Amino acid sequence: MSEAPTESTAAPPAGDEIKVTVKSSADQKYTISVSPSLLVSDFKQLLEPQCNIPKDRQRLIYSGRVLKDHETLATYKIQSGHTIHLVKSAAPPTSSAPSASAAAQPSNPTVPQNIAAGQGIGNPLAGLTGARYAGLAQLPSASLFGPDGGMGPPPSEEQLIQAMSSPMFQQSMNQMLQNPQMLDYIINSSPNLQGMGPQVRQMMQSEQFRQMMTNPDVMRQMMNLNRMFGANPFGSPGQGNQSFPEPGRTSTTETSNSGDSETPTSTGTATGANASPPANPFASLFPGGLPNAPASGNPFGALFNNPMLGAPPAQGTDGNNTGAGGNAAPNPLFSPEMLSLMMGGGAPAPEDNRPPEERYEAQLRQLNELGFFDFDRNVRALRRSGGNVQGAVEALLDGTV
Amino acid sequence: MSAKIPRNFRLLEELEKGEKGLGAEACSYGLTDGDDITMSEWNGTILGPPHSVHENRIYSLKLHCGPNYPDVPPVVQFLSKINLPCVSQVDGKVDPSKLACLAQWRRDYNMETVLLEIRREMATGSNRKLPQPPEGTTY
Repeated sequence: MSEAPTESTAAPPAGDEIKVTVKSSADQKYTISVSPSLLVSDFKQLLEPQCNIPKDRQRLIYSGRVLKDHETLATYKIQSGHTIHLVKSAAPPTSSAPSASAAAQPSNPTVPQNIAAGQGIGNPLAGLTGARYAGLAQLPSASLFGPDGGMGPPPSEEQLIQAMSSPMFQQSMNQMLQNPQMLDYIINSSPNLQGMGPQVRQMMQSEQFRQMMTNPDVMRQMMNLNRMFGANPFGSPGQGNQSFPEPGRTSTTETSNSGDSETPTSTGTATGANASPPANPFASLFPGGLPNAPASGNPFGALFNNPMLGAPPAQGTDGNNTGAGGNAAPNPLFSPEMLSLMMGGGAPAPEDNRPPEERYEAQLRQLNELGFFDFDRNVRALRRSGGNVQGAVEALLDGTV
Repeated sequence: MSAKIPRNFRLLEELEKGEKGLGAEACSYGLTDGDDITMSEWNGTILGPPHSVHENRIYSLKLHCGPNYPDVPPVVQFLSKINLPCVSQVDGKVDPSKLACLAQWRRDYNMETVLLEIRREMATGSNRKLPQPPEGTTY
């Protein structure tokens, strides 16, 4: 930065000075007399006390051009009586560094265009957590990091669905799925998907699949089905299950299945010894003794395991079957875990401080529909199960709450 | 019926309006080269409309007013990259058939009309949410 005439008294002869008007977006006008040889950056400095906008957040526009800091006002042939527009730039100082790094990457055409500043370049999902979405996507708040440094629970299904209904999310999702690199990333980041082989890619690229993924209604149905069939909605098999009650696992399961506490219900059904009545939380709904069915497997299991996922949710094709306690393997694509990954890599929803009736609204409604009307017990059960309806049903049936 | 204002008078009028900031604040325009006596090449900026992905962004454009302006519309081309249906992703040219004021050009329209219409276009329901290339990239 060269030393510019900073004091007006020290400026060149008055004849050389020009009077420019600076119009800011807030309808404010400042008239300043300056020398045309003044650098734009110094001009901004002069403006700073008047407009209360820090120098590096000022952007000046004159005659259809953005004034560059290292040029002088004369470069732009600004004359007396002319008007310069002043715009306050959005980027707060903290994010200016990352945005510079993002700007340094534009030559890489394979990076999705919505990649956000300051997020790992390797994470194509970063765009979803970008500043553009501030207030729209659920970003982690400070309160999220509890005393133990934990990240809090994964987003609940309702929250996921809510987030998914946002057009921005759908837009991004569509864009992501059109990007081969993105697909690689998704597939590589999920062992379940890796295991499914090359068809996965094909499937994810199919129009139909994309439609499903971006349709919140379909997702909602999928999740409902998933839940009904006893798939643990809080994780894929074998990981992270411990903190949540495993569906289908009850006191009886435990005793008869001693020695295998790590194994979720699939073992239970395989051994065949203990899977039936306690494992089925809906047993009470079927006085006719439906629960004999379990070992035969879930009639809808195939639907979930079908890698083509072509069939739309078959909910209601056979109402009686919905309670049969088969154990569909949780579909990796539709597990909330996968979704939360898609939604921006480990940005779980902020801690929920809402009252229980609001927080568990959907779950309470389900419990009501299942015939549990005691509000206090329902809430206690849901609290204990972390919002998991199936867990809550078990607790209610066990009489432990 | 008023007499037809000749091209250069019109452009001088627009130039003054642009330089003195008499027009709308959301856009700005001026001659690319102040010494260009034909007044053909113009620069324009559009301030991204609020409540959209364009908010706080400044888009630079180039406008070309041919010898028959204002009987024919100016040729408008984005310099800043933008994702907008009426803008070519190849070179940033605004497709005249996709922007109403260019498609149905009238003699009393001016460059400000065009810039403001593009800005309105940015703010419409679906367009205001379109993912945008990083700010500062150019065609």
